[in-house]
Amino acid sequence: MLSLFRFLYKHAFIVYFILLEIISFSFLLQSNPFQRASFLNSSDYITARTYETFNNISSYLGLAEVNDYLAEENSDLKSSSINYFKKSFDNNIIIRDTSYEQEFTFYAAEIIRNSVNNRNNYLTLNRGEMHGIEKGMGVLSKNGIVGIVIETSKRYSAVMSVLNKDFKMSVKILKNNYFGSLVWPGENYRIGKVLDIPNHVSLVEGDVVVTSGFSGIYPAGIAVGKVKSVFQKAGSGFLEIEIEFSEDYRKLSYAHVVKNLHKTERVELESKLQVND
Amino acid sequence: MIRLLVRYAWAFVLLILIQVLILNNLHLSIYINAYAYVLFILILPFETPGWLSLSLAFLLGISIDAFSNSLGMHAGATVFTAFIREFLLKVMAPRDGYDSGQTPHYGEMGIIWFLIYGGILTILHHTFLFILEDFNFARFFYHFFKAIVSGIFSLIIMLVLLLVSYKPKR
Repeated sequence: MLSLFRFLYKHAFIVYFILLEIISFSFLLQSNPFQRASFLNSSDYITARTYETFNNISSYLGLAEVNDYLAEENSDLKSSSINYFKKSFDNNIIIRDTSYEQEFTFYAAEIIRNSVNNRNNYLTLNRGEMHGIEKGMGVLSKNGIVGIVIETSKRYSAVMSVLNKDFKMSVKILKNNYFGSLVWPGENYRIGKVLDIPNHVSLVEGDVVVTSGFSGIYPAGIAVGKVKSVFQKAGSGFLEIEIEFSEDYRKLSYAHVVKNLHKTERVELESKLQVND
Repeated sequence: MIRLLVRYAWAFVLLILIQVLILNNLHLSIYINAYAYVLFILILPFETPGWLSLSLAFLLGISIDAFSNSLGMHAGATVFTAFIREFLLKVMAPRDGYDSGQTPHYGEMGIIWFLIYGGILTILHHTFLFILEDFNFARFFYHFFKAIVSGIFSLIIMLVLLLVSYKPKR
């Protein structure tokens, strides 16, 4: 025992080094990304405040672009308003309002931090529990999907970006409804990959990929990207599909957090079936 | 002594802020991710005891991690860097050892010495970091290439930071 202590004392520097590395690795290797972010993350008070202060200053530089973006979105919304629709038939058709029930609502949030050049990218939003944001909600932007909320604090929330090793989402090909899963292989922030689409599906460059809505996190039919290249890998039953994201993640400044109003009902039902997703 | 502590405390805070607010948002190319905060480990005085430089490196890494949601990643890399530094300083020591109160600064040790010392540590740090980030050893050469390109860029930023903050001793 004494010789053990003597050994430890003699090599204290190396022992201390190994100890610190073990601590770092144990943080890093927590397999669940939801747990990993659960303490010391960018929705914490100090880090979030730092980002927000800096964002308040730097956002002035991008105001012109943000204005265009919001104006465009406004006109999109306006054009879908009922006031601008003309009745094609007079009182021949009965519109049953109750046949539609709202499933999703959206909260607007400003992105106060974003990154695209790491292997695992995260965003921070300036909306939190106080504003109704919860863990597990989806995040959209005007042109596509952004990510999923993984941690919230009172005023801020941390979002796992699509550009993350742990991000996986079910998507479908718009023209034929085949579904697969979207992942990001790293390297280029414009390029994603769709897995699990069988070989016999015919695809061409430019085919639109949209959300499937299976997870209930995002509404179905939200644009994700366009097919950029397709090839068959020898010996595999599935296609290798590269897509170009419809959103340029480097330019994000505003986002919408999606709340699924039917979530509890759906989770309850699915837990009865013991569906493993 | 107190003045030294204050200077290093400032350097610690400023380097973290420069890293998370400016350099992390600098998307120059997919091969360039500059991590100039390593400078803090590089410029610790020669007499810093090993346990202290390891602890400071860990603290630095964890602080960067808190800002980038990557708990443990930067900490692992900075602790590794501080560990290697200890041996590198022994290897690169002048024949009659370092003077007391001397710091590994290019103004004191010469630019060539600093470039070799800083270059080795920075590139090792970046390589370790990129591999941890992807957790994929199969792509070692891709990460190593990225580490060299980014490392050179980080080193340039560090030299600029040193140049701006350097006060010659009177």
